[in-house]
Amino acid sequence: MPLDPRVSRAAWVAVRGVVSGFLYYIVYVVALPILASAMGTPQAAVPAALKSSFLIYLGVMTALGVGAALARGTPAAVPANMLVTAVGWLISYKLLSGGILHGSLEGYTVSVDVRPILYAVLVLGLLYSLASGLESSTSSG
Amino acid sequence: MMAGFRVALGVGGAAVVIALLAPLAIFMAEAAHNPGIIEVEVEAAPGGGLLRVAYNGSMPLSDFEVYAGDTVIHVGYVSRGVKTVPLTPQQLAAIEERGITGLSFKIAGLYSIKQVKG
Repeated sequence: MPLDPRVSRAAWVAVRGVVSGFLYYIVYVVALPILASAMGTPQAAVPAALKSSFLIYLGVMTALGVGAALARGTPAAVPANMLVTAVGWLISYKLLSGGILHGSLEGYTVSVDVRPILYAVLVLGLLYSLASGLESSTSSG
Repeated sequence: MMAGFRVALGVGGAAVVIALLAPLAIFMAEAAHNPGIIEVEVEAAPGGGLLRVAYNGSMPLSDFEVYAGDTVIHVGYVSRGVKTVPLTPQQLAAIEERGITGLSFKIAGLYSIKQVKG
């Protein structure tokens, strides 16, 4: 019995959404906070909040990824793509304590302001999402 | 055309992020290998004193300030080498009383770093 095209399309959308949500999760929730944190305070490379809540963040990003995949080919593709980026960035911002990292080193409290890199990532990420959304809003697949 | 623009934006964006991260990464790597990358000393001099900042890193630092309790001594731009700034008698007295309690500076004019005792 051949598979109903609607079912296969739905499955394809779901897979694509989960994969893209996972990629956004890796970029914004794992890589960016760990990289920025490692730059600022080498002794605390993995933010504690990431360890305790990684499943929640993964769920949020995957759900948003599926939403963006469902919106593909419609005018909602642009806002959906930008929403995934914005939420991912906000999670990064929260994990990095608003971009100001604190650590202690040999009796000194060290604070490092990494906000410039966070803002640059936000602007570039939103531009990329806009281009990606515009591209997918004109494609059907 | 949009796909090409998106790819160019992705590649260009990654390059921009790496370029922005480079000064901080270089400074942190140098600081990790050389804990004495910044050394601040006070020398007595007629009419006050001299604050001597010796820096061994490759990234120039700006807005460099030294703290002695509530007293802030503005050093300004610091590059590799030694920079000395004159101290007023009040600043010297604050350093003698409290010691040097902290430093703050910017790397590449972007990233602020503050190190305070305690």
